[in-house]
Amino acid sequence: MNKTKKCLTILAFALLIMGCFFTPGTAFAGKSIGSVSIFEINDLTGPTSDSCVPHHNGIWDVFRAINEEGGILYDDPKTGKAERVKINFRWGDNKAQAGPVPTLYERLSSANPKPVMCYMGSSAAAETIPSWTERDEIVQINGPSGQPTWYPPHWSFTITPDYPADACTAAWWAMEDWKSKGNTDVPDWAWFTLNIPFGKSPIKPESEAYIKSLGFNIVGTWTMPFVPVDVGSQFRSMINAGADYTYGNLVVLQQQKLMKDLKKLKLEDKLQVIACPYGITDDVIKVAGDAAEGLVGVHYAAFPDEMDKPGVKEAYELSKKYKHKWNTDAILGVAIGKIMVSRLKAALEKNGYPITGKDVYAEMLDPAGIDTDGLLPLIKYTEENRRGMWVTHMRAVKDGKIVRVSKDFNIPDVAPNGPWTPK
Amino acid sequence: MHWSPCGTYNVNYTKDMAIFRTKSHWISLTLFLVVLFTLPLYCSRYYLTLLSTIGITIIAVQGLSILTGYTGQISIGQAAFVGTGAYISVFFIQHYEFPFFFSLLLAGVGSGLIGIFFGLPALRIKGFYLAMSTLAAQLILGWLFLHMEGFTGGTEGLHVEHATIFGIVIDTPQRKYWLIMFFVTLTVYIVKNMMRTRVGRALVAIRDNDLAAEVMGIDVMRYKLLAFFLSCFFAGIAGAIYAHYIGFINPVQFTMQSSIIYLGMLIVGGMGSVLGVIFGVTFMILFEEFAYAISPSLTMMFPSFGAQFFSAISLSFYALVIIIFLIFQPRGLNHLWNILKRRYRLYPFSH
Repeated sequence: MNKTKKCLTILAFALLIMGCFFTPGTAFAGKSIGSVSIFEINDLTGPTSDSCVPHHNGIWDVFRAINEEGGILYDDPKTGKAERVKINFRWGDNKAQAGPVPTLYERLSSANPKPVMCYMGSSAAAETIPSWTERDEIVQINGPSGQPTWYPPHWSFTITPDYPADACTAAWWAMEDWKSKGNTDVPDWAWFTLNIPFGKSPIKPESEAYIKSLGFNIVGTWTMPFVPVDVGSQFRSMINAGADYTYGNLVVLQQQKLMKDLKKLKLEDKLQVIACPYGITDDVIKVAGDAAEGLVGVHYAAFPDEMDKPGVKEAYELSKKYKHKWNTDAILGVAIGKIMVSRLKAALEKNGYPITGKDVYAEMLDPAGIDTDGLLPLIKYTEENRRGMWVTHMRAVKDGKIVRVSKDFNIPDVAPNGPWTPK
Repeated sequence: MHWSPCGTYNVNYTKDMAIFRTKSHWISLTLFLVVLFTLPLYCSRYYLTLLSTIGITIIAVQGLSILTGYTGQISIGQAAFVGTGAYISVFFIQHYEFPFFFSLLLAGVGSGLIGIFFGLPALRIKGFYLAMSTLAAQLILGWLFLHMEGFTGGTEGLHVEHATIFGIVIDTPQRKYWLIMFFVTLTVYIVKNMMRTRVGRALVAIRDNDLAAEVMGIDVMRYKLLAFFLSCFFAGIAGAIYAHYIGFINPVQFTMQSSIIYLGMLIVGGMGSVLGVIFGVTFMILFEEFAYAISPSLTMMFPSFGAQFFSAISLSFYALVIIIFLIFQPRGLNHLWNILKRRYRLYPFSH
C-alpha cells in the first residue's frame, strides 16, 4: 500500500469514527441552556419502511428546525426568563424485526442526558419494549400499531387508532353506503388479510362483534402473501361467498395489486374494497393508475392540500425546506414531532430545566389534550386510556385524487375486556 | 491436523482426549470464566444486553451446528423452533404455574419432538430438497404461531413475567445475563463433549458419507432424527430463555429472516466447530451493531442523503462481509483462529 492510499484509508476511518460521536446537539451551537434526549426505533429499510421513513423524516424535520433556532423556547420557572433547550435526537433502524430491538433500545436509552421520551414507529419495537420504558421511566410514543402497545398501558401512548378500530370505521362507512344505495337486505363482509401479524391484527372478537352489531354478516377471511401475487382466485371465492365489502390491513404494495385485479376481473360493481390508512395514499394512485379509482379507505390525519390548517402549512414548509416527500405520512410524522415537542415544552415550563421522564409523563395526561394545529384531531390520554385518537373519517380515490367522503366517525372502544368483548 | 503446545506429550488416552491439556490452558479458562461472570459488576446495561443477545443466539446456533455443521443436514427453520420453545415455556408457566427450569426442559423436549416430525423427510431426501422441507417447518410453525390464539396469543402475542429460580426473581439485566451465560456455558460444554462421543462421531460420519456410515453399521435413520431432536432441543431452550429475557413474544420475533441469519452466522464462524459458532455469532452481532450505530451518525453528517440511505448502506456492508467470507475464508473464523494458534505455537519457526 503506498503512502497516498494509507493516508486516504486512515482519513476514511477517522471520519467513520468521528461519525459515531456526532449528534445534532454538537452540530448546531446556540444559546441553549442544555438539551433533552429523545430516541426513535423505526423501520427504515424493512417491509413497512414506505410509511415509516416519511414518519421519521417528519419527526426529524421538526426537531432540526427547532435546533436550528437554538432549541425549544420556553419560560423557565427556575430562572424566571425565556430559555432554550436543544433536542438531542438519535435513532435506530430495526427493519421491522424484534431481534435488534433490545440492543438498540439499551444503546439509545443510555444517551446523555438520560432520554425522557422515545418514539416507536415499528410495531415490533412498540410491542416489545413497554415494560422496559416503564422500568426506565421513559415516555413511549407509538405510531400505527396493534393493541398490545397500549394494553396494558405501561408508559406507552399510542397516537393513531389501533387496527381493530380502523376496521370498525370501515364497517360503519360500508353500512352507511349500503343503506344509501337503497338496499334493505343484510350485507356481507369479508376480511382480506396478509399472512403476517400486521395483516391479521384488525380481526378481533371485539371488532367482529361491532361489525355484526351494525348488521353485517361476516362471510370469511381470505389471505394473500406479503409479496403480492394474483388475487383473482381470492376475489372469485369471495364473490361466491356473497361478499359485498372487503377490508384488510394491506399496504400500498398489496393494495395496488388488489385494485388492478379487481378491475381486470370487472368486479368493481360487485365488491367494494376498503383500505386501511396505509393502503390509501398518493402512492397507490401512482402505482395502480386508473385501477385505483373507487378505492375507499380509513384515515385520521389532515389532507396534504388542507393548507388552511396552520399545522399542514408548517409541515409542508418543513418538507420543502429539508427536501422530503410531501404526503399524508409526512403529515403524521410532523404531527408526532409536534406532539413530542409540545409535551417537552409543557414539562419545561412547569418544572424548569432539567426535566425527567416523570415530568413528561404527567404532561401526556394533560386533561386539556394535545393540539397539533389541525394535523390530527385533539389527542387526549388518561391513566387508563392510552389510545389518544377517537375520531376517524373515510377517504376515496376519485378522478385520480384522494378526497374525503365522510363526516367524522367516533370509533368504538374495542379494547380487550372492553364493552365490545363478547360475553 | 492437531497441534499440541511445545513440550506437551500425551502419555495415556485420557490425556489424549483432554480439551485442556496444560496448566496455562486451565488458568486461561478459569480467568475467562471469572471475567465472563463478573462482567455485570463493571459493565453498562448496554453491553450486558449485547452480550445477552449474543449468548441466546449462541445457544440457538449451537443447535443448528449439530444439525447442519456436524450432520450435514441443512435447516432454514431454526427460528421457528426457537419460537416453539418460547411459546411452550410461557404456556406451561402461565397456565400450569410450572417452575422455570421445568418449563425450560419442556420447551427443549417439545421443540425437539416437533423437530423430529419435520426431520422425517431427511430419511428420504437430502441437500437442497431437505432445505425445502425445513422451510416448510418455518412456514407451518409460523402460521400456527399466528393462528393458534389460545396458545400463542396470535397477533397480540404474550406478555411474559420474569422467571423465578429458587425464589429469586430474574428481573434485572445483571441477573438475566448470569442466567443466560450459565446456559451458554452449559450448552458449549455439552455440545463440545457430545461431539467427542460415539454419537458425535456417528453424526460426522453421516455428514461425510451417509452410505459409508450405514455400511459401517451406523443406524443412519436414528442418528439423523437424533440430530434433528438435539438441534431443536437447543433451539427450544434458547427460545424459552429469550421469552423470559425480553418479556414479550409474538410471531414477528421468529421469522425466516432470523433462520437465514443463524445459518449465515454458522458459515462465517465455520461449520462443525463449537468455537466457530461462538466466533460467528459474536462477529455477526457486533458487526450488525456497528452498522446500526454508524448509520444515524452518517445521516446527520450528510442529511441530504436521508436516513434510509445510510441504513441501507450499512446493511449492504453487512452483506458484503458475508460474501467476502464465503469467497476468501469459506472455512470461517474458526479456521483463522486455528492458523493463528498454530503460528503462535511454532513461533519463531515458520513450520
